[in-house]
Amino acid sequence: MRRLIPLTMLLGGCGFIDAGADPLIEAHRGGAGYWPQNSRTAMLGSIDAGYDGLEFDLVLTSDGVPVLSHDPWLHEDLCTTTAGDALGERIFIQDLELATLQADYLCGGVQDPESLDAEIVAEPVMTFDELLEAMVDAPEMLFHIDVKYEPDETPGPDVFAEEIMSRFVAADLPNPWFVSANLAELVLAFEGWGADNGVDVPSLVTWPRFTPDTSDVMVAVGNELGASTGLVDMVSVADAAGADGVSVPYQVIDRQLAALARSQGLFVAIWTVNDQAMLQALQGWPIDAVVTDYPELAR
Amino acid sequence: MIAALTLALALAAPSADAAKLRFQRVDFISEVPGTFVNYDIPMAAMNPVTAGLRWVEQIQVVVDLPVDGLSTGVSLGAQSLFYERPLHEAAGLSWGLGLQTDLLLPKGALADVSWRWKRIRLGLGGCVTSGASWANPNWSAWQLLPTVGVGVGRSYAPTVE
Repeated sequence: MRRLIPLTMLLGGCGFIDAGADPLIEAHRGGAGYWPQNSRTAMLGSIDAGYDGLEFDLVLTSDGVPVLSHDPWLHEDLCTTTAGDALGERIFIQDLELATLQADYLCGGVQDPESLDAEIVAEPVMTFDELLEAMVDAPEMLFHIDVKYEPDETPGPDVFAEEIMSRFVAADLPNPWFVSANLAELVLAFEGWGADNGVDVPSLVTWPRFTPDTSDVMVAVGNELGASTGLVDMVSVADAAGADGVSVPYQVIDRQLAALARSQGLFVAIWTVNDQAMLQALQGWPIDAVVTDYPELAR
Repeated sequence: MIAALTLALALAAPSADAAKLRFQRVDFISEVPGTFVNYDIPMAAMNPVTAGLRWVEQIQVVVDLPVDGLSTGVSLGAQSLFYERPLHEAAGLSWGLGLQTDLLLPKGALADVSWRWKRIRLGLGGCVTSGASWANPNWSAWQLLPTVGVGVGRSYAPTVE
């Protein structure tokens, strides 16, 4: 056994071994398996639980306030009017001022069909500022800001970068952090904001890009074939976006490409893994973070 | 290492006896690129669709080239050039060295010992494979992997003339 140790070190030093990286476990949308996704209850619950990281999504109101929501609109299945009525039609958050959004609507008071065991708590949408205040109690927790820019449904990339980064920098938190984005132009906007303001913005680009108009299966298969034939990979995608890493769904992750990406200094995050066996298997992979609705399964 | 192997194959080719260009076999479990057995099978129960897709990607059609012992394999995920010599003819054993490419971009190398029985070829060996691709021609990260191959076909064994 002792003879193997120098050999292992030698091979590892030459990049021959893609040793497991003991990835951080992030609570997806604040731990959507336990609490309403992106809710105040979820964020505070994850902070209390002391998970490695907190992943959440931000969109902007019409008065430019970042609030926690996965979609650019109020979730029809999870949100109601304050009176408890169904929303009826799609309501875009960029069309509402913060005061109206918080006074007229509640989210989380309806059972999430994707997380049947999650607690049901009706609350006004949480703002990014409220979350930053809460994070003071968790200075070591990884802060994973996921931004969803959709042309025609959200403000532009530069507005996102300004409103989110100015608040985050002003909060002066010691936490490790990064921003992930679904489009290269959004990553470039955050990196550009950082360059203009003397802030190193750690950024991840999501790959591949799933859109509501395209079959997820077709996107995944197309991506897989592109990666298999070597025409596209994580490194080239990150380079094109100017990102510091990639955020990849577990369905398309390739261990060899992950090892290559990490060998070139990129951060590799995998989402959204809710299977306990897979969570445990990924502990031995050359990746940096795993996003899950159920962080307790990885403990 | 890849350059040395390419050179060795190039030198071996002119000196070898003439052979036929012919279909040899289909590898349903391929030694090239070697990642399916090592990385995807262990995850198959948890991620069956991806594992299934990657199984299809690695199915390799092997064709003998008109140089004795030299063959080429083509799959969606890799292409290879392989040079094979008899190790113990009576027992159906051979040894071989191969070059692995990704759309003809050199990506890795492998060595194996194979055993043929009727229409079946079983290979055991090892490969060094990089993540290099046309999208990212970078050979900085390598994996050293054991390989297993299972092929079915006419599977001509190399012979000593």
